[in-house]
Amino acid sequence: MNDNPLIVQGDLTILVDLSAPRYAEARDALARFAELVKSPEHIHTYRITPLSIWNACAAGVDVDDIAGTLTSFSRFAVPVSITNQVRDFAGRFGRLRVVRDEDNPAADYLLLHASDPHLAEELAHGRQLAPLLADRIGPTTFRIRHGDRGRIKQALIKAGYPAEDVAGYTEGESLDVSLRTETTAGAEFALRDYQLQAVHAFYALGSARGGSGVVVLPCGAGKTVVGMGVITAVQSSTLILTTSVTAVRQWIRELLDKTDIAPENIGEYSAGTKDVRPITVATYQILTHRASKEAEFTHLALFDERNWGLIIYDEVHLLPAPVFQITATLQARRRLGLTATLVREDGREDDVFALIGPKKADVPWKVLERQGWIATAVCTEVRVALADDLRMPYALAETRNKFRVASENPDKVQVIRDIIARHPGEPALIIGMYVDQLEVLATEMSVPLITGTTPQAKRDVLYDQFRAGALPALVVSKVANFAIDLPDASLAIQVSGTFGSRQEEAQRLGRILRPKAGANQAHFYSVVTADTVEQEFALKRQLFLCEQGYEYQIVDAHALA
Amino acid sequence: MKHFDVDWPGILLELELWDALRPTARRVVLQELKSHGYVQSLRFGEHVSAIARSGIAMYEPDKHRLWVSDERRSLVNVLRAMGRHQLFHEEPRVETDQEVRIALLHYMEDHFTGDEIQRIASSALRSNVYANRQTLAPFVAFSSWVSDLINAEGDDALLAWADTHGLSSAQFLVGEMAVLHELRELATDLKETPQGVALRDLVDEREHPEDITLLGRAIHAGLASMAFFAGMRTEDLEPCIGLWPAVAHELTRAPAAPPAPVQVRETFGLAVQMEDMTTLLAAAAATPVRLRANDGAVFARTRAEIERRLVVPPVWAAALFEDNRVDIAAQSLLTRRFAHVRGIDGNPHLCATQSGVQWLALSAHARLAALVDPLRRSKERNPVNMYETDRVTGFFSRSLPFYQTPKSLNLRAELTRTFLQARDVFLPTGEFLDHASRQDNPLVALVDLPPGKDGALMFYSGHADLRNETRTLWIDTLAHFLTDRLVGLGGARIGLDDAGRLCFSLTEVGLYLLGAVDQFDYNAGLAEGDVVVQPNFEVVFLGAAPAAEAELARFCERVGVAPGHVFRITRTSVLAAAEAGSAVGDVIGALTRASSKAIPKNVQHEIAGWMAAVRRATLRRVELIECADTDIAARILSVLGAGVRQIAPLVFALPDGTPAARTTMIRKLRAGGVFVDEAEAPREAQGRTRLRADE
Repeated sequence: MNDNPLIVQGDLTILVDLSAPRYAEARDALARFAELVKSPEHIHTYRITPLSIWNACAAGVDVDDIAGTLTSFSRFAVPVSITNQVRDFAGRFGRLRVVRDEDNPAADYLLLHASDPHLAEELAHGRQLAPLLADRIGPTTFRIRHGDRGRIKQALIKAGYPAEDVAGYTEGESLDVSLRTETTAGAEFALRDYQLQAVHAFYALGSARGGSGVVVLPCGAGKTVVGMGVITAVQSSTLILTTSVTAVRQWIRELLDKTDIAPENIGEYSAGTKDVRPITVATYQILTHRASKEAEFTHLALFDERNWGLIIYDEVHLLPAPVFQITATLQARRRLGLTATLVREDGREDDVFALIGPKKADVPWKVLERQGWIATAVCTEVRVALADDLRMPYALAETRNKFRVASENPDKVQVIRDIIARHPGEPALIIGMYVDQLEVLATEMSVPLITGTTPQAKRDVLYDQFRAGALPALVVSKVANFAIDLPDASLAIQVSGTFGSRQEEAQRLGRILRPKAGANQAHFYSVVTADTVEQEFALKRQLFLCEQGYEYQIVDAHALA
Repeated sequence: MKHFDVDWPGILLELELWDALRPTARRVVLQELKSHGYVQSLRFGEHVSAIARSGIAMYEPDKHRLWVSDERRSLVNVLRAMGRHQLFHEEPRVETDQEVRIALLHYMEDHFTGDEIQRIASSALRSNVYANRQTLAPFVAFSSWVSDLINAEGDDALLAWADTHGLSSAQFLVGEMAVLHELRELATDLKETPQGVALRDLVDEREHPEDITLLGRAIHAGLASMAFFAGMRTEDLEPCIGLWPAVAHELTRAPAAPPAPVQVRETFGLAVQMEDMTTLLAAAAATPVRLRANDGAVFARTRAEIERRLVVPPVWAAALFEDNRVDIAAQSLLTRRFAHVRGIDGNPHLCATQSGVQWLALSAHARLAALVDPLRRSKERNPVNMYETDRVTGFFSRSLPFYQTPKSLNLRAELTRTFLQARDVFLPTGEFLDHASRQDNPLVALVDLPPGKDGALMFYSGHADLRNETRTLWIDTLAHFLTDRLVGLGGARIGLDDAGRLCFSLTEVGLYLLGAVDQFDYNAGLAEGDVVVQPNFEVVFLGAAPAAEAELARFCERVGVAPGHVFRITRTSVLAAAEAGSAVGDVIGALTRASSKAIPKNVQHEIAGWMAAVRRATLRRVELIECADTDIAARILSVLGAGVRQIAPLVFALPDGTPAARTTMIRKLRAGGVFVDEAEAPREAQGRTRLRADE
């Protein structure tokens, strides 16, 4: 046994000991071909997947290099099966290539080349693939439609033969845009190192090997800034998709604040406004809106309204199914996914990678916390007993209702008061799932409430007042889970949530992670009813953050009084 | 002999016919030629002419077929028989013991009848008990089978050897002692050549025909007594004779050198037996472990679940541990009365006894001491009762097959002296055992002592020839002590050196067991790798840490066996530990001891919360008496009084559900004029009986 940092396990996971002397070197080498799965305090976990190996191959990493990295940094002998599997995965890459027809670059089709006739034959007879292959024009070559490029790549990945896509991208309408060195308020502005690295990793100097992928950064770490960095690198018209009108306006505000783009070149495309400009920011909701279940998604036409050179998918983990489908047809355009929590409760992470692109950057939350780029957060789970008069209704309720009974425990009100009392003067968000409960809380605590039914104008006013410090607290429903920028909020109190949703927990914490002046400290409280199913769900919810290195303190409610 | 009972002097002279053939032609002859009947010439391919020219076989007039003449029939038979046993190789080969044993059994089957085997065995083993090939083979393959011949000085000694190896001494007394002397000389020469000697070379060394005749008769006697073996040399199909190769190797082997200390690169030193017993007993204390009624083994499914909690030794050490560790642990628990078998629902179950529960509550050190102390205190000097099956608490783990030993014999002292060589150093196990059995074997000195009250060892029947067995007996004794008493109880740390050899070194526990020290610290010398408990409830092993692994397995779910992510702490696993009697402090304490980093607070809090939520209830079987009306209920109450408890207007419970109480209750009711019909219990309620009462 030596003090090398890697422990390579037979199930293709790799544990990395952060205290080992060669940790940093190993991490950089490993990041090229393995995905960071979790990063608690002492031991990080990476996973090798076929996709991660194929992405590494696409980036020019050699299979011997991968095997060498594992061997040289491994604390114990690397299982032979791992090396064999890596070679097997890598051996499948490059056997299929998507290219333009060199004799006719402007053709409305692309070519799919197979390395040998047998593979071509297998594709031609594949149930999923055959319908997507327009013509077979040679023993190893197929003609494919531009619109099927994504679907074919997706199907090939599922079939275990990833295509090397070197057909390049549509350049889109040119757009002259640069980042400012000073914000409109006069503050100095420049991309941070990790943001710059993410931009470089994505753009890859404009080559066909870059231009599509996902950047994973913690909430508050400046994903929007990375997006703007990419826009300035691509210098092309850009469609930005995000989760809510509030987020749309934040994007516009940030673009105006940190780039030199003229206001008239930025458009909002939402339920209220349909303004298509060189940079257009739209919501997923409007794109997937339709008059009835049988009707067409008319707003998806936005994708064709301009010759977009870049599409940014903000909070890509929330990408709705129709957008997935249309993204499959947009493979000629550069695509950037942004997220803090690439955890899809529907398990479609692989589809994100297949259609948007591979993970291009992933910085552990605790790394940025140590560097001061996000606030230090103290997470606390507060357990409140269920009152005697509710125990019997709880006991007799169906499982789903049990969760609600526990979540709406009226004794949580006093706990929230106690928590706020412990953090005087700290802007607080009280976040919950059940509107009835939130209404009670808002009333009891005399705090404004924002839910899905709150008009956008009112929301904007309340958010602005909160940002300005005029409101010390807000009660918000899940509409504030994502992409809401409230920089000064430093206290979040979660009173109920969507069962065991890990990404919701992380996103809610993310609302208070923007760096703060002074101690740069935030507090996240999750109030749960003790000895109920809510406590069990809370444990599941905390998993993602625990895996990012956050440690929950657990206290009883009476300890706060 | 089936094939070799021939005129060997004649065969030796005929061998020049075989010399005329190249190896490829020889191979075809052995494959195709029959000693009787005709064979199509085509079957011999390009070699047919050479074969015909050699004179071994003859053409038919039309040359379509070959056949063997009467004169050559014996030669062909001998050649074909030798061709079936290619025992000799120019280049030494590595063969497993199993391969060697099978080769010998095949040879014996091919060349000896059952009667011949019985005759040789009867004379060699000095016993008339039934013997077969398997019985005789270990003796034939042991060096003394031939070394006694080589060492036989003078006619009497040679005749005695002949008598005990299936040769009639009378045959040689009538003037043929020269054959025995030739046999001895030949054996002495063959000892030097484990790869065998070509018969052709032996013939060439002899100038006179009478010498060849003597050689042929000596070969015949050697083959008949299994001192010699005949076969083809693999490479060129040359007919050879030789000693059994393993015997020749043994006779020429240089004296074993004392084992030299080595450096090891990996080690393992956990008291696996004790940890296995702990794990099984903890499981049984929570829920009785069902045993199979036929053989008392743990049910496969339960065994698999328990095996997942056992410590997994490193792959290189796996051979030292039995496959059925759960059953061995069960047996150990039963023998020490830490567990007992109780019938539940008519099926045997392993349950913890009061003393077992007390043993479980001890620290690991104290638990181990409870196992080691009785062994250390044992007065046993020589494990001589071979029929004694309970070796759980004796100093030795296996018995030797003696019914008499000299008073001076003290194998315990000899064993202790031998093992103390491994104090503070790692010794290669193979070399250690080899040296101990060859150069440092306390049984050897006793071999030639005359039988008597304080004389030689006396074996039980079936173990008649001590000289054949002293080596294997002492190796077995040492090896079993090493695995069962030292390695199993943490008395020896095993290791792997750079050459891939298994090594061992005594620990404090081992020294204590052998009486070399007066106390021990179980944890001393347990070099453990780092263990980290993560806030997401994973337990990561950054190196091998078997002691921690054994401890944590009792309240964690195993997800891996090699260093890495080995365990996950779950509510279910913690509750199972609570059910087995663990307290919060035990669990947190074990985690704290194992982990090199602080235990995350959320993990501590959750474990405490889970365990605090534990409540206990009592499940008891009762008899229910259902009455048709209140009048019957009143009668029952008046007859049974306080013996029943009314749990509904027409239902009574008999708290004592034993068969005896039930019988008494029915008798009383009958005496009171209330007769009970036994209602059939629904399947899911089996074990709870409902009785219907009628007046």
